[in-house]
Amino acid sequence: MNEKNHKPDDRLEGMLRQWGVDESARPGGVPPMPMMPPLRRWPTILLRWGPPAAAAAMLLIAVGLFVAGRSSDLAAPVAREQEDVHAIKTQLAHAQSDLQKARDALSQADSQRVREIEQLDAEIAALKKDFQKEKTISLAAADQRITESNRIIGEQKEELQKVTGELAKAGRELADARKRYDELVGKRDVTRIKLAASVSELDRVGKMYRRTLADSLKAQADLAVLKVRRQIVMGEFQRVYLAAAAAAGGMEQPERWASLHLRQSAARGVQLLGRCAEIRPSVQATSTGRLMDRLEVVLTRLNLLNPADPVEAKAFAALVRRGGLVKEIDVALAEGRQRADVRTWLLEARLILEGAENVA
Amino acid sequence: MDDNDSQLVRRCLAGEAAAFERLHADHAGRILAYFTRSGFGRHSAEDMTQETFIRVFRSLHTFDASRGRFAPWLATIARNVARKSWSRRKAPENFDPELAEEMFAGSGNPGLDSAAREEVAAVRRCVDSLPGELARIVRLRYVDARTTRGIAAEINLPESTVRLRLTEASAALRQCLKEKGFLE
Repeated sequence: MNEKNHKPDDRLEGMLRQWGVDESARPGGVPPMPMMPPLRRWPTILLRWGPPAAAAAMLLIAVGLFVAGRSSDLAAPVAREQEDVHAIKTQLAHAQSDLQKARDALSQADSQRVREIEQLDAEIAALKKDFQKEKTISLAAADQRITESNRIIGEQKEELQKVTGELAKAGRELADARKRYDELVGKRDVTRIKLAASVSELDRVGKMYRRTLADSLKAQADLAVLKVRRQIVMGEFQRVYLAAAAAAGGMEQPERWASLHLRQSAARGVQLLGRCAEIRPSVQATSTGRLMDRLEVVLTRLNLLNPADPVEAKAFAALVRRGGLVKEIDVALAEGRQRADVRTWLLEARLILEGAENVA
Repeated sequence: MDDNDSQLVRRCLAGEAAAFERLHADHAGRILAYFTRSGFGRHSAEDMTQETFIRVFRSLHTFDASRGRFAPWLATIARNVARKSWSRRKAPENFDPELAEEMFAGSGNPGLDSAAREEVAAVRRCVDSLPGELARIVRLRYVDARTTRGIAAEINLPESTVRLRLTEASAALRQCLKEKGFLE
């Protein structure tokens, strides 16, 4: 189980761990201090006081021997000397015995001391080994942290350099953008001036256009009036002409003005077909000549038809309507390149045919 | 504090029993906690604490203050004592060795500075303010150094529930410590 998966953030975790350490190490329930074993006391006493005690004993023996020698020089009784020698020998034996015991104790103490030293050396070696191991681990961890820190510092330096470069680049771009902005502002101002001039010009042209338009509308209105007047004049002229021509054709009292009978009589009266045959050769194969040919056909049809027959009248009206002859005559007259007799004939044909499409 | 330890060691070596009592009082709690956090039972931990201090007493003349501080030296002896008794542990997987080692982290300073003391006191108040079960789980985790498995075994809950409770407790503690101004 990975305990780290369930750890809170590092700060809180650290606080909780510190609290846990403090809480678990609080006094209470700690076992009493052990009674220290007197392991070192007897050997220590022996080591510290054994050698001086042995030396003191030897000194006492030597002093005794020296005193004994001095006693013999004083000529004491032989028996007393022998007793003294015996006593001294006895003391010496005791001293030697004590010395041997002391030596044995010292030897035992030395052995015990050596064993303790060996044991302590072993523990020291183990402690040194553990310490060295801990030191190695700590140093390795520290090296690793230093390496990691250096790596992070290097990365941050690179990042800083990168950001600095980007900042400088952004600064240059900003300067360029400001320059472009200034240029655009200048262009904008120029454009505004041009635009103002254009607006002024447009306003002037607009006014002119509106004035022209007003003039045009007025002219159109005048033209319409003129057209109406012309139509009225032409209508009157046509009525007078037809009446006069019909009278020349033998119709004394026209029954209805502009009837087919009246038109037929007028055409006959002014001899329109006969005059066509006379002037047609003078007109070359132009559009006017072709128009005259078509008018001759229509006028012949008018000349031959029975005006009282509504079927024929209707058919004639349809023929005139389809041909659009009146408009073609207007176009030809507008060109104005014909001879005067041709123009007269075309005008008379127009007066006779105009309105004929509505007669039936 | 470590200078104080060194002085106490010198006084011990001079035969002053009170100095050793002081060393024992200063460090026995951490040593005992290290053993209990490592998975040893209470009695075993107490025995091992005593054994540790016996070893310290016997080896005290080998301590050289110029080569290191007293606390790491003591920690090394405690680890050796623990290592010799690893087999005596029951269900060691229930204890987090990393948290056991926390007892020796910064062990040169058995006490805390005033800021750290305030922080620990704030955490203690926040933990005490938690609902009973959450407080218990937090204590098992951070005081007794239990793994989630160890906590689950102790309170008879599934491990997933223990993880959920730990997450809830962390959120509540974070909020509590924020309100007290110890967390941003």
